[in-house]
Amino acid sequence: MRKLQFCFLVLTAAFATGCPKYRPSVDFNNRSSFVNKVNEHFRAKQLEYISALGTDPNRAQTIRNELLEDALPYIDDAYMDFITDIQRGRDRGNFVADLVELGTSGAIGITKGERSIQILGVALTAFRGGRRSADLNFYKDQSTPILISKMDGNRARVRTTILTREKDGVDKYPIGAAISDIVDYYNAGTLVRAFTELAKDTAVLTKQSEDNVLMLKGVPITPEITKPVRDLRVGAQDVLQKLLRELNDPATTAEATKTLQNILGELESDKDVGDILKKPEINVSSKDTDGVKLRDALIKVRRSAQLVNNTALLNKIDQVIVDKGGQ
Amino acid sequence: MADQFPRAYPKDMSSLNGLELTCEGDEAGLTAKLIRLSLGKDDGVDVTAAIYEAADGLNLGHLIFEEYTDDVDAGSREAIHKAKGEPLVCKGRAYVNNNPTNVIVFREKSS
Repeated sequence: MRKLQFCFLVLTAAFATGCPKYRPSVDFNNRSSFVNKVNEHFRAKQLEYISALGTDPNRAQTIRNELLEDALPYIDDAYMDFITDIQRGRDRGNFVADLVELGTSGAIGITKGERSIQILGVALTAFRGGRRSADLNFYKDQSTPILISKMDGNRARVRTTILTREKDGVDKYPIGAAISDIVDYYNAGTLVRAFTELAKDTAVLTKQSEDNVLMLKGVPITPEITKPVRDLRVGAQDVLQKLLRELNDPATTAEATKTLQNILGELESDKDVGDILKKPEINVSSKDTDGVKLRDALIKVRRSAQLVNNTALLNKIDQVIVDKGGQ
Repeated sequence: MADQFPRAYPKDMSSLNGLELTCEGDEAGLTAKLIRLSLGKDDGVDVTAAIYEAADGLNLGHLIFEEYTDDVDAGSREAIHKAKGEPLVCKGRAYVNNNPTNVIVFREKSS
């Protein structure tokens, strides 16, 4: 009797949960299928690529990119069907137990950021412990969107890589690597890859929770600054950057040095800044003719003021740099 | 190794944009590049801790701050910005409006 009950339980579970579907549906064996036609197209493109490779590398690059761009929409279509199926399946409550358990435990790891949760361990424990209807509702709310979001993220990453590599020549990005990227793009949209990435995320969060607090001592707290202050600060830095380029170019060195002397001259006329410029650790004058030394002195003074949040002094210096150097 | 400068920002930074402006001001004022952004404690007080390293010849003060959700999201953002010629500066955590937030930072392409 017990054996009968057990068999009944197993069969009920199998029928109630349906068959697992881990990846977009692509039938590679059916010779008349769409996939087979795509493969024929790949073959034709590869022959074109090989014949162009020796004589016209630019043409070969174009053929390689055409092959890529022809293939990706088909994978996108298959993926869209796949996630529609997943969502539809979930709406009917017709999803596979191990899929749900794995996905949800990954989601818990992410949302709570708890280091102790081991995705597979939790999945197995939960599976052995059985589930209640309340748990099922929770899974329905939480796991599918996370899995789909994960697959979307994986796919976007591979797609960006492909877009970037399409700019490379055939010597750096041959057709074999392009086909490998197409396969990667397909795999990125599978549940198996989504679970792997969820596990990695949990590991990353674990590391973050361990080392994300930096201990400081006696560092003054810098208040939030406004856009005009930021613009003045960055404007002065841009001028100093321009002057560095000019100092490094023999054709403009003299002009840049003159500009720096003008800036220092103006600052010397201000008592507060003038006193700082005379300090031994700075020791600079507008009469100095070494442009690099003049610029380094300005950087030192600005840095010292910034480190103690002396905004008034810094504003004064930066205004002179922008006025005199931005001309 | 180049000089490093720790900085501390208040927990109640109004927004991610406010944090971006403040870090840009620090990069420009210190002539140093941002290398780390992290939750921190400064004499026991919760702060956003930032570490800058003396640098010259970079497009200092021109940063892009974005909030990311997870490592995959951060990876996608990194790939997108890389394609635009905007290199990754750092990935870390910061307080925004008293809440710990995942932040990823890129440097604008030099004009």
